[in-house]
Parts: sequence; structure tokens; C-alpha cells
Amino acid sequence: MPALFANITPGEPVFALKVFGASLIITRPGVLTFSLFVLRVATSVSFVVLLVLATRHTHLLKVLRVFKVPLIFVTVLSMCYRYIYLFVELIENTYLAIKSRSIGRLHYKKGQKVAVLSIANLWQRSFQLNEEVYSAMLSRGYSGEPLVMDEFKARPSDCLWLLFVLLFCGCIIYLNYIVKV
Amino acid sequence: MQETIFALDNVHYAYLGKFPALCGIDMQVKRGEKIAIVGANGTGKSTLLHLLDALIFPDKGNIKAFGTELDEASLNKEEFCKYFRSRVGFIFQNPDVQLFSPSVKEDIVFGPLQLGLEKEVIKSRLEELTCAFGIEDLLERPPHRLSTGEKRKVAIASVLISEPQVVILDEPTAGLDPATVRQIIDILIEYNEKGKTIITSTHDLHIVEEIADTVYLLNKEKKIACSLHPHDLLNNVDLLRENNLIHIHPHKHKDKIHAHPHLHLGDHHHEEI
Repeated sequence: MPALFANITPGEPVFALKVFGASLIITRPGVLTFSLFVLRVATSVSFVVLLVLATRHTHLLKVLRVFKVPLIFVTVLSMCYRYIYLFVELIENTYLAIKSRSIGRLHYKKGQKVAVLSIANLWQRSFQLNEEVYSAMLSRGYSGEPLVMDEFKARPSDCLWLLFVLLFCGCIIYLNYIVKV
Repeated sequence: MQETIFALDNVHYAYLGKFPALCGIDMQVKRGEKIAIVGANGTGKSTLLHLLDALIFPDKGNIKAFGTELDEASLNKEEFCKYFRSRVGFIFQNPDVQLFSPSVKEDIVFGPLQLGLEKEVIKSRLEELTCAFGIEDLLERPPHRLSTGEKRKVAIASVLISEPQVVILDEPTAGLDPATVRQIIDILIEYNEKGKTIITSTHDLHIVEEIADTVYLLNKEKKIACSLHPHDLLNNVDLLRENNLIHIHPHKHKDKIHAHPHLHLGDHHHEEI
């Protein structure tokens, strides 16, 4: 936002306004910089959303290993992802149990009390689950360093796709240099 | 003479040091035996199984597994720990506890990978097991998307893939439909026929005769009340009633409604009260 104004990005004024006696001038280069920044953020977020929606989370986690993210970090991340669903289910059931025993709308003070108790219950359950899951890991031979089956290999079609993406990116960068806005 | 796998001598355990869960358990488990542990809720069945799998250790008394005392010191030795974990598999009561990996396949291969089995061996066992369990289609799915029966089968597969000598199961048939119960029992019987030891805790008296040669009954004093042949236990109505394993409720026989203690078996006992 500050990039819009003349103080940060000087240039031809587009719009000016006064706030408590101070003049705020929006400049043409400021608008261009701001728009470029917003579009870049929107594009990046769109790509991330597209990636998450179009790729299995197991593959995304494996890709993290390809980029040499420590295995323990990937394991913790995958377990978090796995157990979030269990906790969501637990919260849903707790909410339904409260709803089935409530008459009319809850007073906000009572609601706050119920919310606090639910959070405490969830914390206790997650703590208990944490211990049990660790026992289950120990029981199957876990000794501190998780081992995984690395079967993630690039196929010819993946190589072709990678080549296409590289060419596409190369073309965009080239066009970016020769076509001036 | 059969090798003794587990020997428990006067085992006591209390949660947080003040809530007794087991009070003086003596027990011996031989290789190839089928054992069931039955008892009402809160009699210490799950605690006993956790002790057998060395996830917790007794406060008093001792447990020997394969001739070595099970305590923190022995489990801290990498060599014994690997030896013990590769020989004893534990199937938890709640399959959500056991299935922590992002996909079913990764969950099944987790155990043998930690135990250092060759990847080729793991792959061939995985193929064989998934085929036997009929779970080939589930391999790439995340465990939280499975039904309870599917989760239970995956949990059992994730233990059997390491081919342990002893399989410990905590209420493996709880909350399952009859067809899945049947499939799990068949898998366990087949596994026992290979000379493996099966230790199961259950409330389900329907399955006891099939999954056990010896039944240990835990009572409210958190002790072993008796160890019997399943047939003798099922015929001892007084003992079952005393231990909350049978109940009384009115029901209909042809046109006659009456109440008497009975098991929910196909051919239940008729001892009128």
C-alpha cells in the first residue's frame, strides 16, 4: 500500500487527497508497482492452490524430501495433516453433542464457557493421542529416525512435462526482456 | 517341550502410581498358543497387553520375554529392542492410533522398514498381504478416509507384514460387522496355524472358542480369576455372571417372553431364574 504514494514512489500524480492537513498523492508509477505486486501475489497463491488441489498430499510430502527437507520435519508435517482430520471430527461431534443437549440459543457467557471446556477437552485428547501414537510407533520398531520407502521416481512423461515447463518459463523470461511495457 | 515366550511373575501396575490396574498377575505363554484375555471393562486387559508389548513396565514383579527380563534397561539396548520388536506385534484397540502415515501403503510398510527388512522382501510381503486382506484398492488412500473395518484390516496388515512370532490384539473385533469379524478371525486362525502365538483381549465371547485354546479371566480385583479352556468358561454361567460377561434381559422364545442370563450366541444357555 505505501508504494502507491508519492513519498515512496515519486512520479506523475493520478489522485490527491488531504487527511488532517497532510496531502496524500497517489502516483502513476505507484499504481503500476502496486498492481504488479498484487498480481504477483495473486498468481503465486493461485499456483499454490492449484498445486494443492491437483496433487496428492502424499506426493507433495515426497517432493519435500526431494528438496532435502529433513525427514523428521516431513514426518511431523504428514502426521499433523493426518490427525487434523481426526480432531476436526472430534470437534464436530463435540459441537453436535452440545447442540443436542441445548435448548434455544446459548447465552454468550455460557457459550464462552462451553468453548473453553471444548478446547480443554481437545487438548487433553490430543495429548493422550500423542502418547498412544508414539507407543504404536515404538511397537513397530521406531527408534528415533523414521525410515520410508522411497519409490518416487521420474517417468519419461514427467521428464517431457518438465522440459515443456522449462521451455515455457524460458519463453516468458525472454519475452519479458524483449517486450517492454 | 514348547518354548516359553512370556513369563509373568506377580506383576503389579498402577497408573500414576495410585490407580491400580493390575494386582499380581502370574501367567505363562508358550510358543504357538492361542490365548484370550477376557474380563469386564476396567479389569486391566489393555494394560496387561501394553505390558506384554513392553510399552509400559511393571511397578512390581517381573516379565520375561524370550528368556530376557523386560524392563527399560533391556529395551534401551538397541540389539534386544530390535529382536523383541521384530518378534512381537501389537494391534491397538483404536486403529486411528496405529495408522499415522499419510497413506495406507506407507502405514503398512512402516514397521518392516524400521526393523531393517530388505525393500524387495517388504514389497513381496505387501503384495501377498494386501491380496489376502482384499485391500489392494486402499493402498494409496489416506487412512482417515477408510471405514472402521478397513482401518482395522490395515492395522492388522501393518503388524503381520513383519511376520512377528507373537501377535497381541486388543479387542480386534469391537464395532465391526459380522463379515469383517469372520475375515479377521480366519486371518488369525491361519496365522496361528503357521506356529505363531496369538494373544487377544476381547469381550466378544462368540469368538473365544475359535481364537483361544486357553482363556484368562480378569476379575474386578484386577487379578487373574482363572485360566480355563474356552468351552469350560462358556459353560460356567455363574463365573460369567459374576464377571459381567453375561446379562439378563427379557426376550422372546416363540410366543413366550422370559428373562434369564445368557450369552448372545446362536445356541445360548437356558438356565431359568
